Amino acid sequence: MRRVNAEFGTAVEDGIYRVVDIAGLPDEWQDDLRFLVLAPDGAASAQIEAWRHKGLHNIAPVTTLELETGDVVACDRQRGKANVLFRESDVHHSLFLTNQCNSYCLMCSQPPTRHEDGWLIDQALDVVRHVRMPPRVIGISGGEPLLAASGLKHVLSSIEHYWPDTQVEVLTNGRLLHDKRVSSMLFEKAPSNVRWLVPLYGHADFLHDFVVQSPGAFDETLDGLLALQSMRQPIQLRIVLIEPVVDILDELCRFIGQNLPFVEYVALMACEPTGFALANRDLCDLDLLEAAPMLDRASRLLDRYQVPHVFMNAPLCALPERLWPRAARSISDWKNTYADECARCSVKDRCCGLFAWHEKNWKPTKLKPIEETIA
Amino acid sequence: MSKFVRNLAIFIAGLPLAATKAADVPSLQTPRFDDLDKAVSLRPLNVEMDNLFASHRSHSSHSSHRSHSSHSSHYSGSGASSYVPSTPAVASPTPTVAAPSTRTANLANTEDTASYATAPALSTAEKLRLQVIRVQIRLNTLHLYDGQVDGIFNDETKRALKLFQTVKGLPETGLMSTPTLNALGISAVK
Repeated sequence: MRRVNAEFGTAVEDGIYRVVDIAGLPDEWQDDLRFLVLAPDGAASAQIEAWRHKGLHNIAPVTTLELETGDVVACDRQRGKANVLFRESDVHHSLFLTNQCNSYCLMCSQPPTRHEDGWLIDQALDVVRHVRMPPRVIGISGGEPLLAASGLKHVLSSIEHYWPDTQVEVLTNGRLLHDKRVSSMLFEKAPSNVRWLVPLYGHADFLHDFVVQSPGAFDETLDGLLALQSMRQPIQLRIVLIEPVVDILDELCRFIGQNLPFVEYVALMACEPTGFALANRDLCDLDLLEAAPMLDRASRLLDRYQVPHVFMNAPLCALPERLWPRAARSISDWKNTYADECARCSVKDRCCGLFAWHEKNWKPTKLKPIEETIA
Repeated sequence: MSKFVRNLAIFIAGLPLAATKAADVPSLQTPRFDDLDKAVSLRPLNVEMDNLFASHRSHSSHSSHRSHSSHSSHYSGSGASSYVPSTPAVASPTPTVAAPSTRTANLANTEDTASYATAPALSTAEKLRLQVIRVQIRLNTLHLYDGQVDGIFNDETKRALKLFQTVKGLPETGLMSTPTLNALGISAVK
């Protein structure tokens, strides 16, 4: 999430606003939304104040260079900050539903908290209402969104209503779908626009349970996957490439090919070097290039079972060239950077780059700019 | 260090897989493609059939507009958050289900889904009010209108529209005709 400096007038309240400019306001204004109007100078601020006096109470001026029209922001007036929760020009969009989780993964990039955070659901619903141009794909993440199952249901139906053409991707460990009450509530009417992204870290319970640090998780997740399958929901499995997982990657891929042939996609993802991954560095810091033979074998295995798969968060210089076509540019805009040596690289524009925090933590491998020309 | 159980052996536990329903397997779905090739429309901003209020002449029903404007303020208007934070009703009165470490989902009753999910459908009077407000804002930015921005199609608004129409060489009707809306760059409220 981007957090930018913004100079608010006194009119602004904490909460969700859509950013517009003065020229766009007449065509976008409506009663039930709130608008932050970009005021590049004093004259513009005065104009916006005048409108407020003439009866438009749901607009407020903002002076900043860091917001774009169409942004949906949460204002933090006291600190003079705006959190950009949605930006039209981004490649990846997401809604954040909770920071609580029922797993405790070794490499969790966003350690869970215990606080009650139901307000995040209201915020997400507000964001959906305030978006001007619906995204093609929206990710729903947490925490574990199923812990707020009824909130998730609200958000899904709200998305269906406001953004009928949007594909939703719910990032969940699927464990709570094992609970019949949760799955029957969510699937009263099976959604037709949702894909489920479910992590799986082992082909045997103790392996998966170890990685997610929760006994019983493997069985619950598999049960959840079968519940999703019985509702004909598309599933993407996600495998994070940390040492205990890479060690058994062959077996895991074989397990998926043999027992979960209905998954639509498997994503093999390099670990994000932040959060719990820092505490468990000995298990998580892995040179991708050294793991290349394992990755290559995994890819061949999945091919043999005709399971489509992609590599995520893996810079091209960390993957054998055979796997490049499967590499996705998967890192969210706001945390995506490139290193200095990348400037010399000839395939930079096809490469996912690095997480912004690689600098102070670790890189997926020793970066090596690709300098020869590649067809 | 102690936060994480770093020893595999601790995890050797767990039940055999409860249900094996892998039987019914659908054909693999083909990956979706972008719908980038959807046609881009090149029509004018508004065509006649979009414009519900092309011949709206004000006055006749002002009082009802007013009542609507006050009515509509209760789903926002003042800018205060319109959502009462949903009380995080605690789930699962039956403590039987999961293992102790497994937290259960918030299954709070979902009766109020509708109030979240569906936008309030606007009545014709509310649509008119919205359209008039947008026209008033634009006319104000053009320094042709200095009255209240209240969605009431009053004489001042009408005069401003006529002025605008004179400037643009449109028929001076003082109405929100479709060519006038297009010239103002306001999309008709549908």
